[in-house]
Amino acid sequence: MSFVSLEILIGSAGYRRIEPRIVNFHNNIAPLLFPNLMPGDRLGLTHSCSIDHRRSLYEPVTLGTILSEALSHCIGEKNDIDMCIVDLSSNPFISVREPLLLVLVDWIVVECKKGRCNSFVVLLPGLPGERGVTTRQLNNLSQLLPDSRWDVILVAPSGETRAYSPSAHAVPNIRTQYFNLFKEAHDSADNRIKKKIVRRLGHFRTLYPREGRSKCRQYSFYLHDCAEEMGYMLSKWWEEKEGDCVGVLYDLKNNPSFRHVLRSFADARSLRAERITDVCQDPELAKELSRFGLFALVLDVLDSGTTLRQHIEDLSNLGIKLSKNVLVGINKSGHVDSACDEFRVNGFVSATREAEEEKCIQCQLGLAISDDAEDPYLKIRSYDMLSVALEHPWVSEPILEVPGHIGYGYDLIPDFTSILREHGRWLSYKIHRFLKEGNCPDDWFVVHPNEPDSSSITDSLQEWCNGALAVVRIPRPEITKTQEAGNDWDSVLSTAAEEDWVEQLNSLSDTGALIVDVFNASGSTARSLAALLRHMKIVPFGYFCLVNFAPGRDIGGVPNFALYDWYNPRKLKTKA
Amino acid sequence: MGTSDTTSIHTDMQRASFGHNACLYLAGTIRADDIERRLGQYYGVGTGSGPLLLDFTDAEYIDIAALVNCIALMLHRYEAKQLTFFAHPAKKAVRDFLQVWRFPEAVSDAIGVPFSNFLLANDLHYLNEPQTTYTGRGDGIDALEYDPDWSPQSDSPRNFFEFLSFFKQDRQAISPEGQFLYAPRRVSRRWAEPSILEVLATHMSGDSPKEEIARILIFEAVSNAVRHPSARVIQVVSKFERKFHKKSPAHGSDTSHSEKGWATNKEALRICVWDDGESIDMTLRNALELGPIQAFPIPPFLCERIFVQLRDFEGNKKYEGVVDESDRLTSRSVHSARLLLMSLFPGVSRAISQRVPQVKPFEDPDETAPRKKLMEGHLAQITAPKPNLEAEGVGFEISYDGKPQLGKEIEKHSEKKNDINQISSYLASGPGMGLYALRRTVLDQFQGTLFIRSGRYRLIIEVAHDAFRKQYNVRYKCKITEYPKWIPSFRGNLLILQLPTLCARQ
Repeated sequence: MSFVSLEILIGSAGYRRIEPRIVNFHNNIAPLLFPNLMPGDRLGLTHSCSIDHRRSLYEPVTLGTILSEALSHCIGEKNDIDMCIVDLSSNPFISVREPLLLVLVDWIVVECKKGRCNSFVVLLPGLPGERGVTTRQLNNLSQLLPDSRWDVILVAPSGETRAYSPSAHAVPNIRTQYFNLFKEAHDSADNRIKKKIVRRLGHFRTLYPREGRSKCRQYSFYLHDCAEEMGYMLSKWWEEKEGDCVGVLYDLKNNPSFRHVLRSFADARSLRAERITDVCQDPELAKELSRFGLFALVLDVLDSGTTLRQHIEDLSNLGIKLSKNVLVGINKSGHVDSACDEFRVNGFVSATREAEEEKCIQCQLGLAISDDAEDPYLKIRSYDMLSVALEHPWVSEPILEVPGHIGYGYDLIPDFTSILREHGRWLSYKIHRFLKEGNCPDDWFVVHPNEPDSSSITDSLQEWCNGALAVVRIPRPEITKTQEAGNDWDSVLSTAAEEDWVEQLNSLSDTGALIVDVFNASGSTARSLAALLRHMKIVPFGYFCLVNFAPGRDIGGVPNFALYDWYNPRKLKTKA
Repeated sequence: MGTSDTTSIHTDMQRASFGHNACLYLAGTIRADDIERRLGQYYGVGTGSGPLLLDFTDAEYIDIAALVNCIALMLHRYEAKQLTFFAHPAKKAVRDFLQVWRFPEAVSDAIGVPFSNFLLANDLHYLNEPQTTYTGRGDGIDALEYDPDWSPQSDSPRNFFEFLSFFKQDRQAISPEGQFLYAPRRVSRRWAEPSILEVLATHMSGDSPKEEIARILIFEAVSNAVRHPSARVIQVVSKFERKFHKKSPAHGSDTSHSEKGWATNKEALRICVWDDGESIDMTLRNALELGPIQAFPIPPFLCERIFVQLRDFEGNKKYEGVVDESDRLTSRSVHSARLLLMSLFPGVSRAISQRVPQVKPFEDPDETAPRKKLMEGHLAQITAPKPNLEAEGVGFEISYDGKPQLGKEIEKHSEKKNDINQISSYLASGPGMGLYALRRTVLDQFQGTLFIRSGRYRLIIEVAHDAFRKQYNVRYKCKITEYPKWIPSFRGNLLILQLPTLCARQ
């Protein structure tokens, strides 16, 4: 007995090694559906295959070629296999276009006809409609494969299956097992949301209207791009804690996604959902609500507890009955769950409270107040850059990263390693926002020198992209060798043909690449990487760094963007 | 009056400046049809080159498709250097609807000049009028329609359903690359957000997965618009049309629907996707000049029979008959209405003629070939025996003189021979399946209606009801209206996807 598994990533350029957790996931699924198969029956370890967005839109049929190629790699010399898992479940459902699914079905037909495989398990992020085109095609497989035996099983993340087979192959109920395996293989919402909290720098202000005072903060926590996770966790919290409540009263001014999720959640369950502000300002509404049962309070953040106490006092005075359980997006008590007087507070994530400034320097400098809910800036403010730089030690530039044949290393620069350790998520959030707002071609990947600091940026960026970002790391010694050869990559590439990074670049022709680095001092690394990309027929569409010490300097004709421009170019050696 | 300065505010223009023949008086419930009917009258009595007032003073309710129609008309007239004015509704709730749906911004985005240029002097103050009708209170749809906590710095819109525009700053034609290639995903991703999915699941009828609205309907409609030649602007707007509020004790009282002007007789989610590009029939006709627009033989089980009725603007029947999707088009003199209908057929794409497909199956790769070569366009035309074609008089084929003819030029696959080997070679992947998947999802999955307004035609297609289905042995019925040449062609292409909501089905 034998089987293979192919993971397909849509909208990701290039390929990469399939992750062990996905391999395990596939190994565990095979025996669930085909009890004769064992994890050890798996043939070959394939790379994840990908089809970029352009092809998925214009040439969905490319997917067939990609699948055939991947299958050939997996089965090697063998003529046929017993089962093939095609895993599309890591993709957002919207990326799995109906024409792509049609290609997948056609590919299955072709493989059955070729006799390479007759049983296919297709793991999807959702099941297509029962009266849609793909389902119609699947329902009519007997017309396309009149003389063959076949089994096609579609599986949704919930474990729901849909089977197509002439032999009425009974599919065992795998709901619970599959759901658990899927959760294990794919990061859970609880874990994902923890990685999506960003500590932003800026000039934030907390108002205490009753006391007629305000306090400034340099930090603000923000939950970025996690509506799905919040929806899941809200639902879980409600089931566990608030089954008896008739509605929710909320103050979610600083979290637009959370308030949308909450309102639709309430609508679906016929729960009353009102803003606390409206209730307090509208006596008729308050009177009406006071006639109902318990209401749960939902806030975007629990800070000192002052706002929560005020809300509780105001609403209680209006005669509204409140549940003792309170849900908050970010609990700044330092713990996910805490107490505020007799109320139990549950948070999606925890954070530590930001210090409030007694005498705010930013106010003295006349700096504008930042919005807790939205970040209008793509770049870093000077105040933030300088305060970050001054909070951390200054070090000499690592000698291995200095292009010695071109210029001299810096005696002192901010310690980017420790800055990235503390602020990496915020900085990568900035980059992600910049890229998300359409400043990049549709299909792209990241290339950078294989150094710990730039790797930490791209690791963090990967998390924002839910893993669907190809990253190619170029060894620094190869960059240096090439720089010494006038950015001619021929000789390096001829000796490194078997290296992973070269294979990756070979698979990425016709896409666009973003060059990422921690800082730019003379543009030499960027020029060298741009030359490499052009050599590989890849368009370097941009160069992105945290700090540009040489703003305005040409980087091999590549448009460049830095989170901060700080004029301090590398001292260059004059040519003899 | 009568000058052609379309670039500045006309502070002297008042309602009284417009005579009966220079005014499109639109009162009560206004749908796109009402605007077109009035336009027919307007252009019927003159050249239409003088200033025109779109008078919404007595409007009680305006359908979003009517707004798109207005924008298309205003754009057409602006480019023809003809003055057009917009008179605001007297009713505050209707004005608030225009503001909350961002109609003024949509006009500016589409035409490239401020909305104020189209206003009468007395209406200019409406631009700064605060809206008071929408509070965001009520059910999930109310919450999506207006977010009272919204701030201008927000990434998300104040009203989920408001006009969303895509255009180049230099107002050049959109090409399907960069941010525009990204547009279908950007819009469909919004429709796949948990908050909208939950609202769709609560308010839409049927058990069809609601993700299909984002995955198929929005994605394919927008990606179709992005690819229309010469399109310089794409707009997406939607609305849940409701007759009455779903009264649940939990939802409490909200501004009444009559106050919001929800006087509509159809309860449905309506999604409009409009582009100002070349009309669909013209695009396909141009493609037809270069070669076939059908990629490959389609499996017979994917092809349906459609009862088609073609009428003129006055409602006179010009053709009635059944069209089979498996008919192969070989004639270049095919009627434009037929081409518009064919755009919804499986495997019809203008892209076919633009490339020479490699007729290869999903072959095993040549291990020595570079990957790039493998990725080059392997179209999914499986090495099929050439379909057995025989001429049959089916479908409608209308010559340019407007007289229906039996379709001698249309060939039909032989299904009767039941050549299973032949059928087994029909596969469904390849270009031209996007709009087909959209149609099937609107009509069969959601039991909805699909409207297309494009050039000189309007097409409405829906699933045929039982008696009709039996009588004609068809799955769908389609009505196409042909507009007379004296009415300017509709600017661009408008797809309206109408999906019934829970109330409508009960």
